[in-house]
Amino acid sequence: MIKVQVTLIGSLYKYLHGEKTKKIDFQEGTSAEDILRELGIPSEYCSFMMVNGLKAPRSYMLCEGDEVVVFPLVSGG
Amino acid sequence: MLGYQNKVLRIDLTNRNKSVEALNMEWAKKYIGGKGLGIKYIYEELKPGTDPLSSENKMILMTGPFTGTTVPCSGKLAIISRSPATGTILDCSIGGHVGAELKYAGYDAMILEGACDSPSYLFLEDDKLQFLSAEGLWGKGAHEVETELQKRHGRDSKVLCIGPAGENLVTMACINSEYYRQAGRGGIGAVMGSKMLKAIVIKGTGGVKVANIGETLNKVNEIMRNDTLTDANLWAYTDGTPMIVDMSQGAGILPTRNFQDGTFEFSAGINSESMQKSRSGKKGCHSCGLGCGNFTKIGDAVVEGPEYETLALCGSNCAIGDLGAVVKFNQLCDDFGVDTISAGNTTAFAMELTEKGIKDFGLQFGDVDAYLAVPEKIARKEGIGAELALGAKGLARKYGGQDFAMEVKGLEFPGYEPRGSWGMGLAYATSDRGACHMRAWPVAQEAYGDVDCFTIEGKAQMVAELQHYNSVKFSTILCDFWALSLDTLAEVLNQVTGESFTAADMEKIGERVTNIARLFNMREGFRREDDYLPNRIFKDALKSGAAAGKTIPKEEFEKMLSEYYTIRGWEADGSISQSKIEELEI
Repeated sequence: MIKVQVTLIGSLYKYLHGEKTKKIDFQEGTSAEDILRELGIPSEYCSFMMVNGLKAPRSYMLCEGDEVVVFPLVSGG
Repeated sequence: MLGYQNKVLRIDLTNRNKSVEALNMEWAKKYIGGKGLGIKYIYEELKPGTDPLSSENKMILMTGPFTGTTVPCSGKLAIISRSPATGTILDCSIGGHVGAELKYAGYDAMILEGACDSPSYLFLEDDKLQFLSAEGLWGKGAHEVETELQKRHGRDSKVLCIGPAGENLVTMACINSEYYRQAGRGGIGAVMGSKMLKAIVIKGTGGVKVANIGETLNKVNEIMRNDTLTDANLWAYTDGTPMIVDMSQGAGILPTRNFQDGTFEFSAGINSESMQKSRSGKKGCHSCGLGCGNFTKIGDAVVEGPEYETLALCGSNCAIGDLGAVVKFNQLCDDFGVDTISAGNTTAFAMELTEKGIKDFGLQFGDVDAYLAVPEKIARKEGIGAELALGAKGLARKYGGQDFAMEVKGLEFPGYEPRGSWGMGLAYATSDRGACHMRAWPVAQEAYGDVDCFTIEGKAQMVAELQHYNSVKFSTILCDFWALSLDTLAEVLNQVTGESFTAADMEKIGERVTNIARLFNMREGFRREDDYLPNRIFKDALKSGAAAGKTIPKEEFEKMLSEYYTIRGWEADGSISQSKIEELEI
């Protein structure tokens, strides 16, 4: 297992039952996209993910100690 | 068509006359309202070559069929004129409640012509219009003026007003409403100032008739539930645009030190999390369930905001990581009536000119004290403010540094670094009013999405489609935060107007509006050479972050631009042929 810190932004925090940030254990070989599935966040609600402060593709394979931030779909500007 | 009042209030400021005429419904069917219909009126009524700050220029307040109804996110008012900053067409949109109030007073539009011979303001109460003296208001800040006018005319009246910047014809002057809402860009406040018009106060007691009230309400309920108040949209309520600071930092497109880099080491000081610690209130516009307005109070400074653009241009771009300083700068800009995007961008340019020893403005990146003096100096054109009021292009023309004056057509870049999102570069270059993020926002798909940021492939098509989408959305008028489909837009429009528009009609209207804006600019001499980007974008690689090492190669940009013209059916020089005009029934 690896421990990853997950932060959900905006209204997505409800998928962590009201917490914004939580350290969660995942199986090795888990991708950024898998986090959405595991937390029950519809894929289309998320536009952008950041790992350790940098934009990351959904295929990014998580490592021990990673800090992942999940942003909702944005519009406007 | 229902949803309209079928009335235009035309005001001759020179002779202090008013007349009421029917809204041109033939044009309304083709351009809807807001941006599109306002541009059509300006295009038909303004003589080519009109000086934007002369009494011959006109300023139009234009609503749309949704304005004043329960349709979500319809609280915007469009203000259209010829821009004194760029010489292009200029349409701005302002939130709050003033658009609905104009509709409730019985009008779809107000067309302002001529100029007052002394400082004045207008008070419109339903069909009664008064020309009143602005003695005692002229020279005052927008906040004090709005408070005073609501004291005189009632708290239920709505106010549009300018600060000293508009009076002094600063070409980055904005129009304010509800203290912190602005029609910000292109110097629309200077147009109002050139007419010696300090404010417009509106009080309306009527309503808006829609074609099918039951179905409209049902549709509104359905889209509120399924398409508006959703987990995907409510970031606008919980965070608002400041959320974008962290996204831009992560994607490497946060303008930093006059676009010398795409990440800022102190970005955490000006991000949404930081702002939420000082949040003092919430607010939404008329008929909006999203309520994106966040009040922030730090020390004696309070603003509704700062919005992302302000955080980026007046924060990271000036190397200011102190949120309190950005809030204060924002409040000063709002009160003095200065656009924060242009002010922040131009201040950063002056900081770099100082840093490089080209011209010493006494401004350093990160130096809060000198920075906080800038808004008032620009508004009053005092000291360095007289220079900064020229904007980035004017300043570069006078002192040099054109390669890193971050503007297009004289309008300063907003908060997205194009080297990290190449479609955004094309969007800036081809926007109808100069560098603007409101005409197309490809960063949502590129930097904040999965589309490759560093290729021109597919970007010309993407930008053209996004421009059509925003053009029709801003013509109905809806806020850009609500990302509805063209099918839904057509459905709602049909319930309100009783017409039978299709999604294809919406797309075509978007294209028509984009083209008539281009035709206006063409008539004023704008061509391909005006669809440029500053050389910094082509030559200087970003230093850090997800876009480190990136430029947009100039030949790639030119290729993307040519492809964009081809997709649009425009000529190679960026002009529009007669056959295209006929095809679009302009």
